[in-house]
Amino acid sequence: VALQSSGPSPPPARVRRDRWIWLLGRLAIVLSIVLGVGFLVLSRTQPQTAERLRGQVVDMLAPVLAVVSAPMQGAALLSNWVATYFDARDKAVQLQAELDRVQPALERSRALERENARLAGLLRLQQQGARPIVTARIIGASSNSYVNSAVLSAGNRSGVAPGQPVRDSSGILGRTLETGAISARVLLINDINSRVPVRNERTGQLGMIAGTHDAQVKLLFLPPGSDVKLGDRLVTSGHGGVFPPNIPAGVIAKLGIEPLVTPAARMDALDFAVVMAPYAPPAPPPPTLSAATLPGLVATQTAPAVPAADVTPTPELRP
Amino acid sequence: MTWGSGRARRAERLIDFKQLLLSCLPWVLAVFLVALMHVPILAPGPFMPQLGLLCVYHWASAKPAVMPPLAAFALGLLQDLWSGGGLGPHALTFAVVAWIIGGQANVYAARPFHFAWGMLLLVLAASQSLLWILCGFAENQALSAPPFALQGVASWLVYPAIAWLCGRLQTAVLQRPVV
Repeated sequence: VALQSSGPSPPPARVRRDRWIWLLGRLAIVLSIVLGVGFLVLSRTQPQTAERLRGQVVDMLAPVLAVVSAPMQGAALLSNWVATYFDARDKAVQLQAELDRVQPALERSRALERENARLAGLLRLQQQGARPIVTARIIGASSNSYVNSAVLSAGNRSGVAPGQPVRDSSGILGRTLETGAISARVLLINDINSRVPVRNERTGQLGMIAGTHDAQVKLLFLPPGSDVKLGDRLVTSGHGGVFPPNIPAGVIAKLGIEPLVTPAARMDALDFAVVMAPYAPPAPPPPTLSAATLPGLVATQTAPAVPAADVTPTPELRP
Repeated sequence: MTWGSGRARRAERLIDFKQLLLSCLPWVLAVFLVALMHVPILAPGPFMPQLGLLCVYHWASAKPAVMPPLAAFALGLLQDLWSGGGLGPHALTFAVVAWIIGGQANVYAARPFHFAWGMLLLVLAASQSLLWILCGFAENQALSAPPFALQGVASWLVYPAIAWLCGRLQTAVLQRPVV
């Protein structure tokens, strides 16, 4: 019985090897936990370092994301094409009716535009337009429990920098957060950390849309008794100097103290995006009031405002 | 040393190398699934299952040697870097899951699939709670808990598909003798 229960003992070399493997395994566990805690503390105390690291890694992994997402985007495109094909006739009829309905308004709008341009010329008003920097493919999107961001296939080399507004063909998508050489991360407008100043197109009422980590965003900072109706269109107001004015932001979908807004951008079918120059350059530091700087200050105040387009470097517009 | 013994040793090394490469395949599959989580065609919202965590759970319970805590940690760190959130929450959670479940592999052995699927509910409840706390710490703000719960439910629902995929890989590659 004793012989059966004990069996042949393993050679000492194997016992030593197994012991080493066990020890290394335990060390790996401790190392994982220590490294994990270290990274957490780094994220909390040195967010810039963490951002830089993320930017570099996303740069390295951008080709992998592009390869993985290509067939998916192809399939999405195909299904979209099929759906569009079947939907085309109904849409054509609907659009024709819509065109007939808005034709008089369009003519009025053109007349007003001409008049506005003439008046603006008279006032020497400088319109600051949204200057595109680059059009890029969206190769990645995070939609987990607390982050809503996307990865663009363009970075520093194409002139992309943190804090630039990003839009798609339908409306505002978000702003660039961190950039690498060939990729950039965009904080989407439905992220809980996102805030975009907006204006109600119908009433001119100002507000702010904030992400809810859901398909819809909420409209904040409305005064009590504000005139908000279902279907009201919101556009960017231009406040804050990042997002150029009059880019579609969304449509009021549900009324309440904080009305819910369906974003104008297609958040569920991200494919291409345009990165734009910030609407207004950051304000210069306040000059010191002394006899030497006073004439310069007066000159700065009286000089016409320099549009954002003149401050940022020459664009490299890519298809 | 004879000519024949040298060739045998080289052949042995080649087999060892092939085995090493094959043992990396589960991790590569997990990386692919984590990349898939970041494909920009899916609807926004917290409905994206934790595909990487499901891989870690499957391999830790079925074949812990191919998903040690350090490999799970690397996978989680990759997910942290890719997702744009704070660094460390997924890395730490994946490592802890691989460590604890890997230590209980003999409990899972010879049990039906439903046992692993049922146990996953507990594991997801614990791991999503841990993630919620760690993400809140990394982001320096109190995060809403329901999205984490939703993600946990979505993960639990898709686990059979992930287990099937990993099982196919296991029978097709890992259990086949290396020649």
